[in-house]
This record gives sequence, structure tokens and C-alpha cells, in this order.
Amino acid sequence: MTTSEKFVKLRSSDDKEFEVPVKIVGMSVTIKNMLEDLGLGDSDESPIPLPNVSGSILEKVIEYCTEHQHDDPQPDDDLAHVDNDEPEGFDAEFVRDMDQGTLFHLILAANFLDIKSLLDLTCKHVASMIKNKGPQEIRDQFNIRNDFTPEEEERVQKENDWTNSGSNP
Amino acid sequence: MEHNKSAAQTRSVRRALSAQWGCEADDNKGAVVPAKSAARENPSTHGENDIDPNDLSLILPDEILLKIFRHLDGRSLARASCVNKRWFYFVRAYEQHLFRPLCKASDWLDVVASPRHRGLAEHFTVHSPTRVVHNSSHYEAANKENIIVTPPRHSDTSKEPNWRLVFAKNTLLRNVWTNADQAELERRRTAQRSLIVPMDTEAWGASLDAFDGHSSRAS
Repeated sequence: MTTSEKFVKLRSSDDKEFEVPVKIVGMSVTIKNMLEDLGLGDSDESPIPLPNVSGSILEKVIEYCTEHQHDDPQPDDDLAHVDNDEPEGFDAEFVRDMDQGTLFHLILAANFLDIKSLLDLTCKHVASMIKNKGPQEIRDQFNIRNDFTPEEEERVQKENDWTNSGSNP
Repeated sequence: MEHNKSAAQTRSVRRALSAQWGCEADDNKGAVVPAKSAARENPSTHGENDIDPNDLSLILPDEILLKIFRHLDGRSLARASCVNKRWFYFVRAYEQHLFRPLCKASDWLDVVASPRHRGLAEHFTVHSPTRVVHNSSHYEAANKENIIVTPPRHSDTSKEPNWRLVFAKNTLLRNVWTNADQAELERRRTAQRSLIVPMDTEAWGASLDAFDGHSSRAS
């Protein structure tokens, strides 16, 4: 009997329960470690509580993991390596029409659950929303309050004046 | 006419450069007060109601902000740092991590202080051309010059240059070079053959004055 035939139950912060194949939840390093600590098989009945993740977000996470369950595990990388490829296919579709609230909570969930590829995808998507925008456009996009005093803002903008010179090759 | 245009260009560049240096000189005075980063700093007096749940800049922790920002190009990153205090201080705190890869991507990593031109040459180094990335003859010439400007060393113990400033200054200077008129570029290109350019106004013109002014202020 292989582990992929086993299921585990996950319980979201709003007490929704999900029964998910071990192979799929195993993409979450956090859950994988929990399962190993708890001892697989003993935890079949009692759901794993995920107090940081709501049901709707967990649903998204499971959707993502189900799609990617056959992927090769990604190598660990550090800050030196940044993969800037545009997402394609399912991934592009997955983040494209997502509202910002969902997107941010999905980032937090991916971070907590330690699902690297999902965290990369969502962070990259947020970065693409910031790229090539001016400070005010970014504030408008993300409801960010400008908490600089006028003097501070002038100084900060002056310091970054160079971003307005010439063309970006 | 050509001359006037170039003079005006030089003036605006000089203004931009001195703004850059001027701000740099003010860096340690702490003119911008760090943001009271909401609940993290003082959880007892700031309830979570104080945080706008839709405000991206507040709900994402630093480690995630770092993951997002490392996907940005230098220009977008600098503009993002103008958004609010948290982002400003965040980019400052991680500027070495964020800007070093960007400098690397532009071949601006090879920043060496010159033994011959202590003082100014600590700020400027020219290294040999590496690649031509653009067909425009202007850009080609600019790229052959491949001007690398290093910022003044930070007063702290770090041996590394400040990569944010390396990036900002080189981007600015590259734009000057890219926009400069062909004759001027050609003159500079043929005049400078040694690895280290003697830093005088003869060779570098008015754009150097801005740096020069800063350098004498600093010393």
C-alpha cells in the first residue's frame, strides 16, 4: 500500500474540513512535517487544524496542489536565483482574476504551509502588479496610505529622481 | 544649437546628480522618521483595527515583501520605495540583497577602487567593455565606455559598496552617455584608453563637477 492512497483531513480556521490525498498535502512542507511528527496512520481520524488558513483559501491551495501534484520537487534556492519567467497555463489562469484579498491571504497561506512553488507564483504576480508603476499608482492599486510628510516625500522622491531619467534599456 | 542642447542636458544631469549626492549626504541624519509600523511595534496600543486589512504594505511580513521585491527591476524597486515609510525603510534595510543582483545583471559588479586616483577614483572606475547589448551606435559607444561609478564607502565596517547607489548612479550615467551627442562620445571614447580614467573635467566635462563638488564636501 502506497502513501498516495491515504487521505488526511485538514480543518480550516472557520472549521471547514477537507479530505485530501497525502500526496497532495505533502506538497506543503509544514503539513508533511506534521504528518511525520504525528506518525502517519494514527492521524487518519482527527483532522489537522490549520488555524491560520480559512476554508476559501485552503480550497485554493488544494486546487493548486492538485494541479501540481506530479511536478518534480523544486530545488531549494536562495536570493541569488530569481526566476522571472512568466507563468503559463494553469498558473497564469490561477492568479489572473484573483481579487487582491484572496491573493494576499494565499501568499500568507503558502508561506505558512511552506509551499514554495505557490509562494513564488503569487509573489511574482504581486511584483508584476508593482512593476513599471509610479508611487501613487502603486498606492492606488493596493490601498496603501501615503504616510510621508510632504517634506519627507519630497526628499524621498528627489533621491529616486534617477528613475525618471532617460529610458530603461 | 547642438552645443546649447548638450549644455542644457548637462545642467539637468548635474542637478539630478547633486540631488542624488545631496540626499546621500543627508542619509544619516534620519530626516525621515521610521514609520510606526502599526501593531508590530506596540501591540498594546495599536489594535488590529488600526490596520487596513486591504493594505498590502501592512499585511505582508518582511520575508514575503522580500520575495516580492526581488522580482522587481531596479527602477520599479526604487519607485516602490517611495510608496510609504515601511517600503522605504524596507528597501533601505535590504538594499544590498535587492540591488546587488541587479548590479550583477548589468555587469556593474566589478567595482574596483583605483590605487592611482585616490579620492575621486575611489568613486569612479572604468572597466573593460564586456558586451554590446544594443544596436544603436550611441549605446554601443556608451557601452564601450562601460563607465562604472562606485559610491563613497559607507562609514560602517562593510567592505561592500552600497549597491543601491551603484545601481542608481550607473543607470543615471548610462542614460547621460546614451543621450550624449555622438561627437562628444567619440571624443571621450578615443581619449580614454587606460583602464582607469583620469578624473578631470577635461575628460569628463561638467557631469563630473557634480561628483567633484560632492567629493570635496565629503573630504
